Amino acid sequence: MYYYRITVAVIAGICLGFGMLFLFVGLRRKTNKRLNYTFSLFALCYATTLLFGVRWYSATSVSEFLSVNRYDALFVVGAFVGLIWYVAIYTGVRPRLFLVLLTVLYVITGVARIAYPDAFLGSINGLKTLELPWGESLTLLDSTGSIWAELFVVAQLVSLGFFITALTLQYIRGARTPALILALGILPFVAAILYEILGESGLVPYIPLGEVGFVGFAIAASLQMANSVIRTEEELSDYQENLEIQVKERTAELQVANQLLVVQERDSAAIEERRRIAAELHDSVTQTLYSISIVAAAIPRLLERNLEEAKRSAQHLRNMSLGALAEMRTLLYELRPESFESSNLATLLQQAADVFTGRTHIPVQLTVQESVSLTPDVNLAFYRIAQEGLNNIGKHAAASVVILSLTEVNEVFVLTLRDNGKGFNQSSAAQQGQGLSIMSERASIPGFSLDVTSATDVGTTITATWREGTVDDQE
Amino acid sequence: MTKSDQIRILIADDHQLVRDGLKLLISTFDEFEIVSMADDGEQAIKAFERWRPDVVLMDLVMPNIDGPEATRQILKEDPSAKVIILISFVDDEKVQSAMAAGAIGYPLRMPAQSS
Repeated sequence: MYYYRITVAVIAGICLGFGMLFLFVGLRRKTNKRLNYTFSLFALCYATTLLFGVRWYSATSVSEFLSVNRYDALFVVGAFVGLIWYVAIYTGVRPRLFLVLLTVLYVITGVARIAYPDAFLGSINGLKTLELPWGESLTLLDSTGSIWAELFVVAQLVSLGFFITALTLQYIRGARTPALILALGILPFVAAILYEILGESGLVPYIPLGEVGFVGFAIAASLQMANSVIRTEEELSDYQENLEIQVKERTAELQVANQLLVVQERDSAAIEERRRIAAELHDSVTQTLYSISIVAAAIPRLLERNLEEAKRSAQHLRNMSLGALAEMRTLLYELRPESFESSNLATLLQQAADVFTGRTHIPVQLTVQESVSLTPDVNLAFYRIAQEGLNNIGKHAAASVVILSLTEVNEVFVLTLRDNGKGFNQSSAAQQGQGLSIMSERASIPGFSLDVTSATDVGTTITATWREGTVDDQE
Repeated sequence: MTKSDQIRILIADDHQLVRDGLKLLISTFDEFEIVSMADDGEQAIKAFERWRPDVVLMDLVMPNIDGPEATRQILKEDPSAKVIILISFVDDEKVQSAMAAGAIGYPLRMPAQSS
């Protein structure tokens, strides 16, 4: 029975299987690709040399033996180069120059064996037969050997030294388990090669055991790879679990942060609003009241010195205190907008007039048609236009007479604000200033139209018209 | 009382009503004369340089240059200048800042009655 041949062929099959497996896994892996590539290079080449061997063990002539043996060199080189690089990457011991030189050495012996088979094998005496105990016979070449063949043996011994060194270094560095696994796996392989070398030199009976030695190595390398794959999977599932927990935690944190932000925003908006109202208070009511206190202090002295002035000052006091009241109500509208909505337009316009008179001592002649009742939106627009118009008169007009009126004819409401002040040149846009643009902005709600006529030293008339309906109805 | 005996006053306040009130009150005292009125800190500094008043009545909050800064610049121009801060109610921080700038004082309340 061909037990030996069958065993070698089976091992070659296993080698091919592992080689392909490592190659495909390597192609898909994200990291450590080179570990897989070098291993599969080794395994595939090794499988091929085993199959070559099975063939030449049955050779019947020298020429037949050589024709098979010659190209086996290519795969022997591939196997050993793959192996040394695999061990280097596996252990992390990578003396690059040494590895490159060793690779070159293998390639040289391989090239020599293919290109000059005669020189490599030395003088050939013929074929010899090795009888195995169970009656199987293997054909081997009987030759003297050469410097090239010895060089190949040297390369193998150097590789062996490198394996031992690299694994020892890996072990010392602390990666004990992977070092031991590979060492145990490589051990029978190394022992078999050593035995073969000794057998070829005639020191021990020659049995080609190298082929069998591979199995342990293949198992060790596969174990190691399987371990790393399983560990990766475990880490991945741990990571996924953690991820879910983390996502939940982050979501909760985000919600809390969002709520805080909403509260903060509300608070800061409220603070900002308070600051604005305080500034407005300072600018309006406070100044008016302060002025009232000063004028009130002056009146007793004026009574002794200038009765007319005292009377006028008392009138001013009244204007200013009415103005302060109106300013107060204006501020209250900002604090409580609903109190604005419940006020009718007559009250609102009176208030704007009071503020104006309080500040300027210029009386306002106000007439509002009794029947007028409009929506808060329209009320607000009329009120703002009157307020802004009066502001402008106070700042620029130097008027002595101001007339404010609101009339209604056929559902058309007209607010008229007239003064006898300086007026302005209507053709000069610059002179119209910001006040007018604010006013037209306030009149820019549907149904409103604004008209301003002014003449220098005659005065200004502002007419704001509102009628129910669409913008198209505007004049 | 001759004109040269009068105490010459510069009023700096951005509110017309307050300026008018102060003018009215001061006009009832023969010993005071208002030489100029400014409606912000910048004008106050210019008016001071032009009129060299004996006393400056200075509001704290004004546009462009505020009271404390105007006080600082006036005292840099004339270290013997007398600046009195006008306050309608006590706002500690701003008063401190004006006093630090060299104002000589601030009346907590305007005199109600001549004595």
